[in-house]
Amino acid sequence: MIPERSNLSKIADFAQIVASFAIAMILSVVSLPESVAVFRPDFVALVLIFWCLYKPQSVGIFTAFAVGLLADTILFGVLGQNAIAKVTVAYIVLRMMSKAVAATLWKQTLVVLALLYLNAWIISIVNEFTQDHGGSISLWLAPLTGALIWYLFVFIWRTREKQHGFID
Amino acid sequence: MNLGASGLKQDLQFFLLAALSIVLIILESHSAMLQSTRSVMFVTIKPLIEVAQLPTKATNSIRQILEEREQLRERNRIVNQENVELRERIIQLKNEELRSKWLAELLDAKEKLQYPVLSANLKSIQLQPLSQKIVLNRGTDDRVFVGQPVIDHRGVIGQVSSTTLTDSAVTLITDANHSIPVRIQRNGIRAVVHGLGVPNQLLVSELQVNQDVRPGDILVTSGLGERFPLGYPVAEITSVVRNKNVPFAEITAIPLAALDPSFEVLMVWNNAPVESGNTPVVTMNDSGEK
Repeated sequence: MIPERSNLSKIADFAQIVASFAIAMILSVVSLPESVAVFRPDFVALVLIFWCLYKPQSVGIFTAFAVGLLADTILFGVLGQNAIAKVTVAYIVLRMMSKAVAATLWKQTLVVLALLYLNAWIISIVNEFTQDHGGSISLWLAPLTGALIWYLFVFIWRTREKQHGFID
Repeated sequence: MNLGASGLKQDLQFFLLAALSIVLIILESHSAMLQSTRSVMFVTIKPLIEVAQLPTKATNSIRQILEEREQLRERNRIVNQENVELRERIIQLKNEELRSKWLAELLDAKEKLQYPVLSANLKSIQLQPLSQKIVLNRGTDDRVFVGQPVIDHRGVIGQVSSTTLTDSAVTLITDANHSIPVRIQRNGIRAVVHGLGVPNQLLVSELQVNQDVRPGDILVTSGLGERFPLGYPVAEITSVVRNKNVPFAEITAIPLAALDPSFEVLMVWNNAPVESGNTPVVTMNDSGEK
């Protein structure tokens, strides 16, 4: 019975992860008014950082690469620009920031903000390199919104975890 | 856990995939080689794009429906307005059509009369028991005189009984005090038509029981009394009741002319002294207002 249960929970984890990335990509391309769109954070990066922190055994650098390529396709960007940004972000989280899971929410949010800026910066560097246009105002605004969303989401997540004990 | 080995593995993965990404970027910016790769991947994420487009499509179609409804409402308002205007126009046109037909017939009648005539319009109708009068918009200014016959193209209407400068009152042939000498058109037998004081009913007297008269006979003016033009239609006999005990037949008739005319009628100068050069002109259309 036990192996079956663990199999089931693996499938559930997998479904959860796929669904979260799908929703993140939909949110990335839903058309918004110009004034709101500049505040739209990189949802794919947020989801990636989240899973790299909380499920590092399931989501790694390969996932980051695959998700990055899909994001490039769906956003009609240069193929590889999101891939390299996401791979870099995932690598930093897995390799150096894994302790942030246990950090206070404020510190964790600051780390995430820095990662989101790194992600946006890499994407804009590639844009400058290939298309001769750098970042827009969105480059500076979107990570702030992203960090805010992170703070609220993890706040709710942690409260729930406390209520349910640390059962995953 | 084998953190050291895992860390090394991650380093390797990172350098490998980062390098692959850079290769992709360079390939992409210098050739169209990756176009097919991109289209293959696009198929896999197409459903996501479709989901993402749902809100936009929904708001667009809602907006479109609202706009269409607004447009329909506006068009409906305009069409209704036009409809009202066109209906009014049709009523006007029908009236004009009737009037022009009437005027044409009136002109024909005038041609046959060979008397000076003047057109006049109805100003008011004063129908009371016994007294049946109408008022026309011509008076002594137009040389109208008391006793002047008034006709339309179908028959005699009556005669002027009083005048002012601009109006004249016409006693209709249905007035209880009005009589007019007539002849049966078919055989020339003389009679007199009296008004009864009620609309559309006339009494014919002076016809003896044994004389040839029957419903449908047309009565025309006999010219006696020199008031009315000779041979002009007056009435049509509707019933003849013969009673052997009474020397005269009881005969009723209806007027041929419209006694409440909607359009112009003619005032006739048949026997009045008309000074030459001052003959009233036939005016069909001037002062044709109601």
